[in-house]
Amino acid sequence: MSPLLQQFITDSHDILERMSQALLALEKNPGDEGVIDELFRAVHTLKGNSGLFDIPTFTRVVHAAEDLLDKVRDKELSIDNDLTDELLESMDFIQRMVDMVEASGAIPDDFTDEADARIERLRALLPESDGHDLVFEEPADQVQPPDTLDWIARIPEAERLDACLASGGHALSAIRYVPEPECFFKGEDPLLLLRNLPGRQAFVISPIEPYSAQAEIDVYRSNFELQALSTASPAEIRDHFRYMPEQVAVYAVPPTALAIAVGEDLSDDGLRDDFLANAETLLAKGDVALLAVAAGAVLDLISPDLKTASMLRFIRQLALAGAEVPVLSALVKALATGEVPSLDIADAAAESLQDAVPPAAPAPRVKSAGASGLGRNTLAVQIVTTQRQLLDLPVPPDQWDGRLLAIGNTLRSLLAVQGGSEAVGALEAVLANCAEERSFLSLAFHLEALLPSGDDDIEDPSDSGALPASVAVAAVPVRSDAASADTLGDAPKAAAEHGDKSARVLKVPQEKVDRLMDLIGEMVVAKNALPYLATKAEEVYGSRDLAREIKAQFAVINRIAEDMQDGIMQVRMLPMSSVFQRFPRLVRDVARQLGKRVRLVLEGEEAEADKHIVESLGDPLIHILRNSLDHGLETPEARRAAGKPEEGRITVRASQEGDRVLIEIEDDGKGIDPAVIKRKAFEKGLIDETRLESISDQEAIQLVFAPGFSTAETVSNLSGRGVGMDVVKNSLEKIGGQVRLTSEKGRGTRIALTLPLSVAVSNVLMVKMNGQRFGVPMDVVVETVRVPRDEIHVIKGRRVSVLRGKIVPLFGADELLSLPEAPIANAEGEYAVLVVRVDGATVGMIVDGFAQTTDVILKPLEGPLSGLAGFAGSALLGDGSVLLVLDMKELMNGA
Amino acid sequence: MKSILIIDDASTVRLYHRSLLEEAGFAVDEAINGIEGVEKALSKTYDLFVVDVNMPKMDGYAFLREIRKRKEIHQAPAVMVSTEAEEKDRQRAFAAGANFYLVKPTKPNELLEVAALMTGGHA
Repeated sequence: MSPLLQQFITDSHDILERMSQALLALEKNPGDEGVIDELFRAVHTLKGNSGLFDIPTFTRVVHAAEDLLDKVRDKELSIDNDLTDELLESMDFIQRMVDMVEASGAIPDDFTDEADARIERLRALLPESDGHDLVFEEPADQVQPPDTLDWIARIPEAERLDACLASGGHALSAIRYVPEPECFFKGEDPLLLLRNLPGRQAFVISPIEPYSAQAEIDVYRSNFELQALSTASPAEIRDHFRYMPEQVAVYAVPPTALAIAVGEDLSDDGLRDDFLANAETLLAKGDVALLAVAAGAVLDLISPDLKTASMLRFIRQLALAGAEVPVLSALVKALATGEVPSLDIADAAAESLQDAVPPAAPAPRVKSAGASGLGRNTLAVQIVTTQRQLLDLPVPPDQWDGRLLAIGNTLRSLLAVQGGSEAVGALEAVLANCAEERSFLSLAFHLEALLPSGDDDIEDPSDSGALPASVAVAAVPVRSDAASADTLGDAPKAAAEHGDKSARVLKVPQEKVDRLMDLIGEMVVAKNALPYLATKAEEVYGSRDLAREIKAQFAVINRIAEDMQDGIMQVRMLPMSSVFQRFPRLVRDVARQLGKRVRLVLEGEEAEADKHIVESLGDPLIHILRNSLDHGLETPEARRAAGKPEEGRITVRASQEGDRVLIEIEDDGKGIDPAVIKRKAFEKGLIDETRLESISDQEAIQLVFAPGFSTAETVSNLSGRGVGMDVVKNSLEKIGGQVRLTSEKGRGTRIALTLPLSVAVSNVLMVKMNGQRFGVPMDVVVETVRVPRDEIHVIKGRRVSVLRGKIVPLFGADELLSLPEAPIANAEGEYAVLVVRVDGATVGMIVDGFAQTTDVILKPLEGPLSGLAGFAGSALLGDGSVLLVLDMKELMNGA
Repeated sequence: MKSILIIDDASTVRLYHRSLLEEAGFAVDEAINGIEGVEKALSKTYDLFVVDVNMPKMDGYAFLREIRKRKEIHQAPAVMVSTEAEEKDRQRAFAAGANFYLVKPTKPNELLEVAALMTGGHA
């Protein structure tokens, strides 16, 4: 289906939906002119759209409905139940036709009767007096070729010469195109059509009626016709003008018709007479090349402004282009008589050129060609030749019947078109004989007789589908991938099926969605400029009213922007299956490598999250799975000894919980032994002696997330590559995720990840420091407090303060960010302290002051800046400035 | 209405052929590979197969051999369309069971005329 038609169908569904809503609204409130207008416009658009396609049945019904609604709009008719019923039924019918067009590209003939009945009933509802108005538009008069070729003389000689040269001595296609006066209102663009005309050579434009004085010209009416020459075939040209066939006439013009001599007349012209005598003998011998030389020689001697020179140039060009002798003779004759080559001459020449003109009729209408035999249809000959040669090819026994039937069907169809019933009858007898004798032989003989003897009729055998008659080709073994089974288990297959089922789904390149997302992100940020403006309006320009209006408008834009944000988020949602489908293969391979037996269970793959989240999940999940396989699950022997089934089990389960997605990875392996973890952590210096004593088992287990912790006794090939669970935790936290690990010794381990559904907008609190602003993500902020100078104590060289009964270490933002100036206290001697919670610890950062919170689109630092620690990224603020957003965790770890 | 099954993995080519053929009044179905092609051919009677060569899962040659083996499938003529214009490629197509061969990109008139001739007329 063409994109155009697709568009039409989509539009039609939409329009019909709008129409039925409008009709129902009108029934409740018949006088609503706005709705009536909307209804009329909808049906009018529908009619206009349908005109682009060859669906007259459709157009007629819509037209009748439009006429009815026109009367309603003009208040000559009022909406009542009958009318509404009739229109609704008609729309259902139109809907069915749209579905039909959608399904098959056409409206079957059996719709015509119902269409007629519908139109009849719609017409019956029209006011009596206006019945005659409903005469359907007759198709516009077909434009005919012009009576004379005078227009060609208006083309400058140079262009005619070029066209002659381009013609290669063959007939050119001439086009007469008379645009409708109202064409501009129909979206037609005559000049664009002309400019894109295939094979366009020269053209002239003439007014249909003389142009009136400039002031009176109706510039919205087209008042001209185009005459053009083209080297393209008439079929190509008709296709080019396919939306306005009645406005265009295409006819053949022989190149001789272009040879119109212009210039000074010279009565006594000795050189011309010499050339004429010479030309006659050359043409008699058929020596076209020498004729070109002779014409060139005379042209060198005479003034180029002479009429003779003009005609000689055509003779020379056409001769060089390899024109046929009769064509050149006509020109030579015209040179002798001093007249324009007449149409008669041109027609005579055109006849000899007939073959060069490609068939004008579209291909499927070949029925009329050749009443018997294969005629001159070269494709038909090629097809029969191919079938003949297929008979000589070896064929596997199991395909023999199929081959004969297919060849039989091919020939049957072809002869039905080309040969008529007699030929088909003869073929049937031969086919029956072949089937009986299980031999192609009689068919081969039959086709030999059918085909024209010799190769004369086949234009170019080397380019045809023909095979050399005696080629014997062994059946070529071709690899069939059909049997290659999907080894990945059932999950990905199910996912694929899931993907295929969705019928009306747009496939949009990811970049487009990303771009839209970026734009919406910018929009969300840009709208934040309005509160600044409001403040400015009030404080700088003193207009409180304007400030209030800006704020009101901001509220509206803010709501729309948020809806847009939600909308694009929905579009970006990906199902978990897109990461999960990598797992079955991975688990299988790793398990085999480790000599373990495992069954992977995937659940909730249809749960969705933002593309970025889903994509960032892949690596951490793979790492967790590897850990489970490597450290969690036991070997079959160990499992048997522990009284468990030999086959281990790993479950990966996704589900949505509110605005977060929960992913659990569970295994039934040996679990984590807190004692081992404690000992390891102590050995590695991650915990001290007192902590070793006091730490609970559940707390101890969390130590696997500590940087530099690795539980494997020996570094294994798989998971022990120096990348521990701390990396997993970090990368998940980067996208706003949290990790929780629970384990029961001997029973298994469960890791639960919770992630936000999307990441686009971050809420940040802005803090001031050294005259700059920095952002701090709101999800780490605990509170903002003012701490008097004398409540800040120094213990072991570190500043601390007691906040809500707890000792909180304090850091100056200047220390953390290497800024030159220490934080300034306010007039009361209080410091601004931002209290954040990082890795379970509460710490304070002393800053100069606080500003407001705002929504930003956080972009990671790129290029040379990407190496900087302590920054989560940068964001653009509504006033155009750039805000650096701090990564409190990294900053505090560095402190 | 004559119906044609296009078996091609390239959606653009399917759209191109489909729009040409539908405009000429044929009913057109599509399959994205040989397997889907065989399934469709089993479920409906087609008047012509327009078969691409290179496709995932089951290519055009395998598709042709498969349908020619199966008695329950209507043995419609098959046109193989390929970007290759060489003689050996034609021979492979015919050996597999194609009844005609067109080189991609197909010329609109050529495809339509072949479709008309091989289906026994239009629409």
